[in-house]
Amino acid sequence: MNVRVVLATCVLVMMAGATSASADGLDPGGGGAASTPTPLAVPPGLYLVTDVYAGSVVVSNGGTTTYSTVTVRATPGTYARLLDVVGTGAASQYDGRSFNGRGRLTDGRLIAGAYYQTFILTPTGFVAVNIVFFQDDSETRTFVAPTPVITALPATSWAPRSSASVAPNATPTRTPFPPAPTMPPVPVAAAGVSLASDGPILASFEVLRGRTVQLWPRAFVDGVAVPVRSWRVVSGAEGIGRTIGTGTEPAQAQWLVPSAAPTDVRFEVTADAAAGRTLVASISVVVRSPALLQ
Amino acid sequence: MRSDERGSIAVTVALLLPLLLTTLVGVVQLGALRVIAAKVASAADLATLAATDDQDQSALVRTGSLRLAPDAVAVARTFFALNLSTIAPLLATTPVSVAAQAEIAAFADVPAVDPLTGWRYEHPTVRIAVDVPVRTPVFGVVLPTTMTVRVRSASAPR
Repeated sequence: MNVRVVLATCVLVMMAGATSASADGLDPGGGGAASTPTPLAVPPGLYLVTDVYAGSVVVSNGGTTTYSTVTVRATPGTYARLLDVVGTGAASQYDGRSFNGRGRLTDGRLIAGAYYQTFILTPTGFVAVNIVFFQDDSETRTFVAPTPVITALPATSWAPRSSASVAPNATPTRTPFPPAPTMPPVPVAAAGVSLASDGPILASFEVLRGRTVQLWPRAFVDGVAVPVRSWRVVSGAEGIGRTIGTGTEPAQAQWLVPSAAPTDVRFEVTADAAAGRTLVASISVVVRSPALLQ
Repeated sequence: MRSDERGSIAVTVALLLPLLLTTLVGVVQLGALRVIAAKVASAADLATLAATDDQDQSALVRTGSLRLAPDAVAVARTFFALNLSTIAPLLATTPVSVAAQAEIAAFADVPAVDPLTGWRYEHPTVRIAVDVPVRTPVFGVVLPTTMTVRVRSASAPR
């Protein structure tokens, strides 16, 4: 992963005490300063986030363990800047300040990577939200079966080859590998649209011409409904009143012209429980009109 | 013209004039009857449209499909009586009585075939079938003073 290209964020979500100004900054085209027609002057070193931090991944393949970061292609409207690039074992002034932490290799050294700071744009300027660490490192260990190790080491521990001491009289011991680090479970997030705040998710619905309905974009993580932070209509906006909103308000919709074919309404949904991800929800609508049968 | 022919013309006119007047009045009455029939049909049409517009909102939220409200028949009957009230003097009975005697049915589960009319419905439909007695005062001389207008109306969201 090219860390320099990846611009971080994630966060807004982690901040339970996010202000309303922050929420405005999340909504592309929202009522914040980001939607003003005047050109936005971005301070040097600050980039628009186009890849959002989704999680840290540790993958073990044979004797090689790779520490990387998963990102999601999205443009949530936040900004970031590179704070520090650190090598394996090197200390940084930002250690302990990132919300996701900086792990260590199996030999105890700190993992290499880069620190980014995330910002949101408010009417008063850019406001720092948090610091995120993008890990980018790997380690390779070679299993040498006959290498004798000192018996004082716990039998179940794994000693890096460089730190092994040789005791000629010691009993050769097959050193087991430590449990292979597994990829942390990635929660499955999904979104849908219902006609009530607690209604079932619908793929399509019918509506009478001129009748007002409420469309509730909803988000789910691992099948459990989670609060929606914001939503916006990305397509099929005809008939929709406001095209952006928060999770506490539905999209008011009314169609005045019957449709011969179904119309798809597509939302982009963000939720705190699915930090850094933009979920897509869509629903198909057929507009009907009461008519006499002849 | 000879003077002795004047009497025969007068007799002819006297004999034919009632027939001409009767024909004229009959034509006028038939036209009025058509207007009344159209008004009654409109009253039924509007009533079914109003009932079709009365959808079950909770069912829509659950299923996403349009479904007639449980009180669709009552809504249609109420609106039918209200619509007939505008032509109440032309009816042989009261609008409420006409609406009460109307055969009104709601077909929520579709497709369905109407057992009364034989019509096939692909969408939830409200139907009114009624024979409306209307006054025909001009016909009273030679024909019954009450005639019946048969109305069949059905509406569905399409």
